[in-house]
Parts: sequence; C-alpha cells; structure tokens
Amino acid sequence: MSSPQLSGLVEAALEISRKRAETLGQLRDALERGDKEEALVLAKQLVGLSDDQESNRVDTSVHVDAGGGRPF
Amino acid sequence: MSTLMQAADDRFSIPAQKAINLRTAQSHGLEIVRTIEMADVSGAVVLQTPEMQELLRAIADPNIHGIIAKEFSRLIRPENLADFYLFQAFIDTETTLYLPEGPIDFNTFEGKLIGSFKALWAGRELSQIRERIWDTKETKRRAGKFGQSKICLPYGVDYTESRGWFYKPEAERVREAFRLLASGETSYVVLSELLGVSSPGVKVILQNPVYTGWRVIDKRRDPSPSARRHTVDGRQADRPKIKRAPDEIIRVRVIEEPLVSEEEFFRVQQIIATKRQRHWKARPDYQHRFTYNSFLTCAACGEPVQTGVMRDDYYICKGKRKFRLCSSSYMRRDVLDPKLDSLFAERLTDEPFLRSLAEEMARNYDANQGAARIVRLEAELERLDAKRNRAIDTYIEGRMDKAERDSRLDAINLEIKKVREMIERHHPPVVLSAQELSALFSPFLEWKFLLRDDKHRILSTVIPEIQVADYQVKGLYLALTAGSNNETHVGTGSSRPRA
Repeated sequence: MSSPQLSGLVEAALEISRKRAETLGQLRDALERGDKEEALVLAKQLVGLSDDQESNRVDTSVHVDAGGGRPF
Repeated sequence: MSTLMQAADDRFSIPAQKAINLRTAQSHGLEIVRTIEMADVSGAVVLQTPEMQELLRAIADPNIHGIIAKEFSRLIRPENLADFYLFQAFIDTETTLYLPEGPIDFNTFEGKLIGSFKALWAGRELSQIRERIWDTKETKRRAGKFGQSKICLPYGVDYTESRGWFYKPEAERVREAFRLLASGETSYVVLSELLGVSSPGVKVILQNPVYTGWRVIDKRRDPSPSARRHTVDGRQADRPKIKRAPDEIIRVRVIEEPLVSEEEFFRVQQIIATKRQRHWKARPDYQHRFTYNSFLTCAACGEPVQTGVMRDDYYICKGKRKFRLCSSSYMRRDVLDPKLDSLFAERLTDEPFLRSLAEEMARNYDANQGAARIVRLEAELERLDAKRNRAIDTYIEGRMDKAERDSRLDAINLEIKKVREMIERHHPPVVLSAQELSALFSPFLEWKFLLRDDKHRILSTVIPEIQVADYQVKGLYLALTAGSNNETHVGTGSSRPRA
C-alpha cells in the first residue's frame, strides 16, 4: 500500500537531488571555463549558502550597520 | 424581464408587454409620457434598480396620473414587508396602477386590499417557482446528474447527459498541483500559475472531492429573504453559501477512475489545514532566512515559536513576545538552526526510515501508471499544439503584432514543456537502480548542505512538530505513517540512538 506522505517525500527528495546534480554539472563547466566567480556562487549553493548570505557569525556588538532599518 | 432569455421570448418580450400596455392606456384614455424598461431583473429585486428609482421620482410629478404594467408581478414580488414601501409611494403621490384587468387606486380601502393581496400572491408564486426548481435540481444531484449551468462545473471536469461526469485533459494540471503540494511546494502562487487561476482559487480546487471521483454537496445558497443580494444596478447577485444540515448533504460517486486517490486527497487536505493553522507563507519572490519557522512550538508553554529580527535573527516564543507569560529565552537563528540540522540529519538517515523510502519508491515503479491519465495528457498536448498554431495563424493574418505573438508563444511553450514533463514522469525507467536510490537518499545524507528552501520543502512534506525552549529540543514529531520516525521523541537531548 502506497503512502501519500512518503510518496510526497520521495518526489521532493528526487527533485532536490536532480537540482543539485544540475548545479554540480554547472559548477564543473564553470571550473573548466575558468569562471571562478560563477564557480564560487554555485559552490556556495551546494553547501547550503545562498549567494548573498553571510557565511560567518558576527557579534551583535559590532553588527551596528545591519540594525539601521530594523525595529530595535 | 427576469432574464435576458425571457426578453428574447415572444410571449413575454418587451414589445409584447408594450402592446398590452398600449391597449390598457387606450381603454382608460391615458397618454403614455414615459416608458421604463427593465431586463434581466427579477420582480423580487426590482425595487433596487435605478429604473425603479427613476419611476419613483417620476410619479412625484403632479402631471403623472398613473403607471401601466402588464401584470402586477412586473411591479414587485415582495419577499418581505419592507418591499411594500412602494405602495406608500403610490399613496403619497396619488398614483394609480393600471393593469389590463383594471386600475388599482391605493388611496382607497379596496385598492389597498386588492393591491396587498396581489402583491402577497405574486410573492407566493415566486416562492413556489423557487421550490419547484430546487426540488428538480436536488433530484438530479442525488441521482448523480448535473442540473446547473456549465459555469458551475469544477475545474477540469465536464458533464454530458450521454457520458455523465468525466475529467477533461486540463484536469491533469489539478493532479500535478496535488502532486506538487504533497511534495512540499506549498506556494499557492506557484500552483496558481500552473492552473491559471487565482491563488485563493487554488485552495478551492484542491479541496473539491470530485477529483477522488466523489461529488459532495455540503453547502447551499441561503434561501432566506435576508440573504438576498443585488448588484449596484439592482440586478440579482449570488446569495451567500451556507452549510447544509447533515441529512441534506449529498455524496454521490460520479467518476469510477479518480484523478487522485483518497489517501492523496486527505494528505493534501492535511497540508492545507496545517498551512492555515501554522500560517505558512510561501512567497516565491521572498528570500527566507529561517529554516524551521512554522514547525516549532515552545516546550515551556506550548505556544508557537515565531521569528523576529532584533539586529540579528531570533526564534521567539509567541507566549513571551505577545502575552509576556513565557519565561523561555530568545534563541539565535544561527545557533538553533545548526542544532536542528544535526538532529534532522540523524533522524532522516536512520536505516528503517531510508528503507521505507526505498520501498515507497519501488512501489511507485510497480504501480499502474493509468492509461486514462496518459490519454488525457496527450489530449492536452494536442490542445496546446492547436493553440500554438492558432496564435501563429493569427500573426500571419496580421491580426497580432510580433511582440504579442512572442509573448503568447512563450506562454504556450512553457505550458507544453510542463505537460511533457508530466508525461515523462508517467514513464519512469523499468528497473530501480542503485544510482536512483543514491539520488533518493542524497538530500537526507547531505541535509546540512541543502539550501534553506530545499530543507523547508522536505519539512513541508513530513510536517514536523518540534518542541523547543532555551535551545533544548524536548520533542520531535514527524507526521509519517510508515517507517520508524513517526513517534514523539521526548527527552532533553536532541537525538535518539541509531537503529
């Protein structure tokens, strides 16, 4: 008996896997072309970092500028 | 005229009514100085129309002696006593109503009596007409037939007397929407683009059990006089829907081969309900930062854990933030997310869980893919091809400029691509290979390295409930029916022993 929960999960996993395989292929192409900037963007995606996301923690006491437009 | 169709009918057409009114005027020696015509207006809402308002202004003129009508019900079919205010206007302006059978002077006792009686009778006639129509429609509904206008048919579903109920080729889009939602695509905006309807319309479509082969009618239009609605120009508008009493609910199996199974349907209903309950917002144009938002509840007070930005990103208990009742502390996103990542990386890679996934994948390979589904998809492809050819022909004939042609062709080509993908999905490779199993498992093994949206997509399919307070994960529940991870794990630790 097929389970819709697991079926949905399988679909999602395969879709994500396909996307990651595509990104990996693009990374390989970018490295072969010598396009380091593109390669860096794709590599960040493969390790779970979106292109404009901070990759290091910043102490709140020195993170003043980021608070400019925020409520507190 | 109640409907435009009646206006075209010879017996009750406006010219026929005019001829009768002319005879009435001649028999009483009257001169017709102004004619007011109303079409597509029921006698019940006639008082709300601008034409009737014009008539009320006209009878205030002392030179106007009376009004001529073909029959009393053309004037009003009162549903409530407030409608009788028209008679008071006749009394105030000393206006006489001329009908073919004779005049009615509302300033006399006899006039009031006859006028009121005729009005009540006209109202009763309307009620009887409605009851007869309702009974006929209900009989048809209970017999699994269709007794309404085609506009009332659900998306991708059609009905003919000879064939009964059946799914049209575009119903495959609905199936795809069910599949996408069940596999973690929780944005109604994305699904609305697939179906070509509004975002609220997506939810209405996905909640209709007709796609499981059952027609369920659990609502009806409110028949009470107070539920009467009209448009700004006095034309009839839809009455609001109300829930039917349990004994009035109709459930009829109308299509033998359903578009989606009942299990899939109820799974999607569960996701829709959770989405509403936990306020899942999935905007494709917004970059979310929090991975576990909407899946967390406070282990200290049971309220949902919300997200907040105070220089940095924090998870905050609603009980603390809104009601000031919870003593749990704010939790930094960049501390809690990795902790939960570790927990999920472990829970989603234990052997029984992966085994159940592999078994599910194998079952999908063995399942009958449905010949009717393929036929519908191919018909949809043909329809889109014909649409593309029509757009090209229109351009060649000079009835469309190049920019519009390109825009239309792009949209059609995108639809064709989606349908082709759906067809390919119905023809998977015959043998389940190690490579495909590896593809299936890799997102779970690489959990920590997935993008936030990919993690969220997987989480949306398992609908976890995570109890957390002060960075301590006290419980984790996954809404799965198979495998070993559907138990509530209680404890101060964030992991449990591997199987």
